[in-house]
Amino acid sequence: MRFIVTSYGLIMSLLTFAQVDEGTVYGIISDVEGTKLIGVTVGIPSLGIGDITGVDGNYELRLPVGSYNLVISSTGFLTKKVSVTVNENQKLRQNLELQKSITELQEVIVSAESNEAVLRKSLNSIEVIILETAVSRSADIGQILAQTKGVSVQRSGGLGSNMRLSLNGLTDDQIRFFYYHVPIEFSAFGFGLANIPIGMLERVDIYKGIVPTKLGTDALGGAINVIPKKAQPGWHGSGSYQHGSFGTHRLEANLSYYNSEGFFSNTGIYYDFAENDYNISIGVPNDQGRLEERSIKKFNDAYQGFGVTTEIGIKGRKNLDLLSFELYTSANNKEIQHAQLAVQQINGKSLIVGVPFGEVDFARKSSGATVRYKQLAFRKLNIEAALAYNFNRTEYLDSASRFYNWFGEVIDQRATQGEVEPGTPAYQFLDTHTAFHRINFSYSFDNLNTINAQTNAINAVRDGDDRFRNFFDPLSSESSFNSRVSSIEYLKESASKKLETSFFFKHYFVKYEAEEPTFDGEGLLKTSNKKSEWGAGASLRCQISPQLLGKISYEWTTRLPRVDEVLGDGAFIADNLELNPERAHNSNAELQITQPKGSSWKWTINPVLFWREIADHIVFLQGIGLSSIYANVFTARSLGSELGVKLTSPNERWNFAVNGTYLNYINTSSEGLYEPQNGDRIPNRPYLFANSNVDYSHEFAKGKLRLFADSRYVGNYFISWESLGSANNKQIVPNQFTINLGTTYERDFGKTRWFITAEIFNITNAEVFDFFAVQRPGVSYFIKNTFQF
Amino acid sequence: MKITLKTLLISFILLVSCLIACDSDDGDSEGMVDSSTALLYSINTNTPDGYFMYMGAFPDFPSSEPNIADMVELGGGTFATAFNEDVYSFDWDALTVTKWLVSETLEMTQDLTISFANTGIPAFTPFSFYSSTRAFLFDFGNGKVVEWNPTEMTITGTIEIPQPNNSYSSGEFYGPHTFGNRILIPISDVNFETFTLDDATTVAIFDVETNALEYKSDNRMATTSGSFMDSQGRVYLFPTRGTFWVMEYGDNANVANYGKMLRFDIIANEFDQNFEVDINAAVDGTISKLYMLNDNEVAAEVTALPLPEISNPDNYFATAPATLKKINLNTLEVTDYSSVGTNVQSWINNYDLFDLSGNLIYPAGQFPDNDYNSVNTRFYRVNANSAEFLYESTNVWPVSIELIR
Repeated sequence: MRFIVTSYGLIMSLLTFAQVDEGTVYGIISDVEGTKLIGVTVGIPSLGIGDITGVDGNYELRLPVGSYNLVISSTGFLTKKVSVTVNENQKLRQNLELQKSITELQEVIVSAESNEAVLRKSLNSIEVIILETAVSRSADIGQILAQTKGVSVQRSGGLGSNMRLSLNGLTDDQIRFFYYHVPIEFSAFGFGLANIPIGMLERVDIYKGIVPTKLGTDALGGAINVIPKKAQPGWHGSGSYQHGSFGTHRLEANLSYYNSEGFFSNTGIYYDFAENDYNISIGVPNDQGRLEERSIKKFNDAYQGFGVTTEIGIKGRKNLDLLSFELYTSANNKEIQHAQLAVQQINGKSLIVGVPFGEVDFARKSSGATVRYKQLAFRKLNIEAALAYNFNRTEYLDSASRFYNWFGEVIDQRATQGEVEPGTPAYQFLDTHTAFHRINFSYSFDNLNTINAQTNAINAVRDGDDRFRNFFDPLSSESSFNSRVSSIEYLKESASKKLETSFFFKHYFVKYEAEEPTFDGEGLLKTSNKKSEWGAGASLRCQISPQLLGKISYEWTTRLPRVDEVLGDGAFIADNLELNPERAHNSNAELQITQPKGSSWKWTINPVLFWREIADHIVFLQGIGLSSIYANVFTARSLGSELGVKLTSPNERWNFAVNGTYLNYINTSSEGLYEPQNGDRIPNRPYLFANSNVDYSHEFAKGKLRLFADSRYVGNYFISWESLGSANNKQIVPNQFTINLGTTYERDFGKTRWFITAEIFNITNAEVFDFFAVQRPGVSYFIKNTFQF
Repeated sequence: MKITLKTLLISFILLVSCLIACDSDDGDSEGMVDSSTALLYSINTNTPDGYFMYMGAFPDFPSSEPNIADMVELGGGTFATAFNEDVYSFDWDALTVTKWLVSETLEMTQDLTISFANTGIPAFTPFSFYSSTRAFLFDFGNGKVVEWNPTEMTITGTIEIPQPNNSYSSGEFYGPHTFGNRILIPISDVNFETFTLDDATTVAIFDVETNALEYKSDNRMATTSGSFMDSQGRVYLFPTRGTFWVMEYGDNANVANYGKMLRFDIIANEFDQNFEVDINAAVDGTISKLYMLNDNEVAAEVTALPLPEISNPDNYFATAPATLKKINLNTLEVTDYSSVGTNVQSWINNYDLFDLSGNLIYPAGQFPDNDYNSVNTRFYRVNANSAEFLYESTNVWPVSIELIR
């Protein structure tokens, strides 16, 4: 700890002496009608400095003292040049208008690139989801991500339900999640992506395969980085209220302030509630125990979530790019309706059967703080740092003393408490204190050669309590987890900017410690272990022609095991000190093909090939008469392809998008537990899915009317090894095809933009299942009111 | 011979007919075996998302690894048992029982299903098939017996019963033994949380004629954990390895007699006061599982004492090396099955294997030896004289092996 403090002190001191004379130019770019423009490039070509306007048309440049020609360009607009003179410490506001180009023959039309385009043309295999239009929609992040190629989202129910997100076949801990470049558990949204209010976000970056070294993580299959909206000059805010089927209410509000002194604040708050009382078809026993198909409303599945996050700081100052302090707290509560369900063939029809829970409840609370720091020193050295702390408590209650039926009625009293484990009631608390710090250095020699280095660490301490246990309580086992990921990367770009390449090395280290109470209650048993691994990779980007971009990347990467995977829970999950990290070869190759110059229709075609070769896959082996354990039991290969096509009409009123993914994620174990199933698909994972989307907008009643529709198809898949069991009895998650429709009307009232959206999900009321026998909601209706200023 | 077009045509037709006939024969006979005997064989396999159960019917115990691709797939929380020439699968998650018909060609066809979800039992409890029309689930914790008809597959009633004195008591899941009009269910009272156990052996006796249930205790031995019944309706009760864990790590100073074997006579409806065997002294260890070879001899899986140290809580359910021994219950003579060697633990619930004319299937796994990459189970056919090695199964966990007919 002392080392960390000393290091930070030293860095800060260095930075104090490293300042240069600079000023800031900022402002809003709009068209002549006052409409703020997104994706406009604003820059000084001679310095290689530039910015791209965000959703509110804002840009900001930090420039050395002097006079410059500011160049502003965007597709469909005439390029504009403005002379500016920057004085020391000055914050110069330059709001500018761009004029639309009337003909193709205008002398200077520079193709500017949107944020999305810039990121898509980076070295990484990345999918960028700009949430500008999604803000007014009632779909949550999970639903929006599910429309992305290569991304599979399996959900166990409605709002607040469990979600399994898969990137090119890899899932769970093999993917890492970030909120504004920091692990997402250090935010108000650590409970899951699906519950993040969209109104607070600017975009979502999905990294497939290689994760940028700046994020410094041990992901095996990629990462998702959620980027919040940035504070823009002046007061800005947004708010929304959504109401819809299944007793769903969602409220969110956001207020930001940014003044000419560089001070900014950004506060967001949300509250979600959903009864999730949607209808499901289920087998209900009659008095004789015979099963009859009934449509019932779920009754113990409600979700409630609340969160508030506030960030204050200074940015754009002469001696400071960014210094911010964020505080957050959030809590949620989810009732649990049932455990594993089954499917029985009754009179030739498949019926879902199971036992409902009436009172099982799960809650989480999270609070913490994050400090972010960013500074350009010596003109060529960029330094970024983050420091974060989080306290997380999970509570699990299973103490019912009554039996329930599927109608929510009490049918009998229990002699002993507990529904999940009858006779073994639980009221469990698990507390985790986690700290995170990271520092990134980026040194650019000449804008073409750059070296990036970063190191980060996570330190976690965990203990707990089961208040129903008076004797041996495995939760009281205290354990700690300390991991560090460090990396160094060399980036080189050709002078023509057509070729860019990177090489990097990563080092992973983890140490675990646990103290477990012994059965005799007379002492503690200490166990510990540590592991380290090396990784490396390279990537190449090539602008083959103005319309054709190629990328290829490779990485040999590592996923460090969690503390409970190594040390167990002190009782029924045994430790496995020999557990190795999961390792994988990742490779992606893709092309981005865009319309030729002069084409009135804008389109992109994006074919992708991916390969994952995973070793030492960690699996939870539930014991049969023995303790359960996590073990490295198999190897697997994911080989697949994606194809995405986007099309925009000349007047930009019509947008079409289709994408599809096919992956062959197979077991390649030549020895061990899964050797007999070598060559089988990894079960319970979608392997064929496709999406389509159409969007039409038109001026209407002094505003704009949007109509949109999207559909999703997921091919059926087995939940067990495909080579086992007779074809007549294989358990399967059936094909899914869903269609959603919606419309948004938006209109400006002065500086306030108001949206009202109506949406219908699953309009055909199809019975869809992401997990075996767990039915997702049928047709549902939502209306959402949103305002922005 | 003159080859004419007609000859060629006839030859061709004959050839095609022959090929079709041969092909047809092969198709009909493939995988189809007419069998008057049928054996239920079910196993668990693991996937990255959990276990699944597969079951099939075989004419005899397989001499090599059965082809799981031909078996019926069910969820991991399922077990299967045979009664009255049918197979019943119990789905623990759904609390349903499904009847499966087994054809002469050993094909299994799903028949009727009933659900116990609305009967107010928390999970599957000790069960007994008494007759083709009467079967019972004994829920001692909630004081009820649910009666159902295994032929019609209907729930026929609920019977209230008195609860055991100790709230931690529970019926031995695989324990019910039926003889005459009575069903005996051993009551286990071992608390693995507090490491305590009852200092008396208790059984529940259910009279199917009067629907009355009574408890009988004998304080010559501490609570029972295992049992088997001979052909005369005498149930032998003994402690298993779990009892020894509790005794070694709990505070049970008042429990003196925990290593014995007692006998309950179902016809007389009382403990046999003339039968009291120090079974653990005889085998110089503790018994994990015990299988009847005949009315006088049993084969037992024996773990040497003292048990391995469990100061590490992770070893809570750890197992210790075990050997297979034959015990003569009259003379207490103990004989090793040297061909089996030292194994670790059996996890087959082969409570009905006595019906297989003395066949005993005995598995040995590498699982507890920290080799998580494979699970091998060796199967033996055991009789009073020898243990014959059959085959080694890879990466499956046997669930049940029973005689269907």
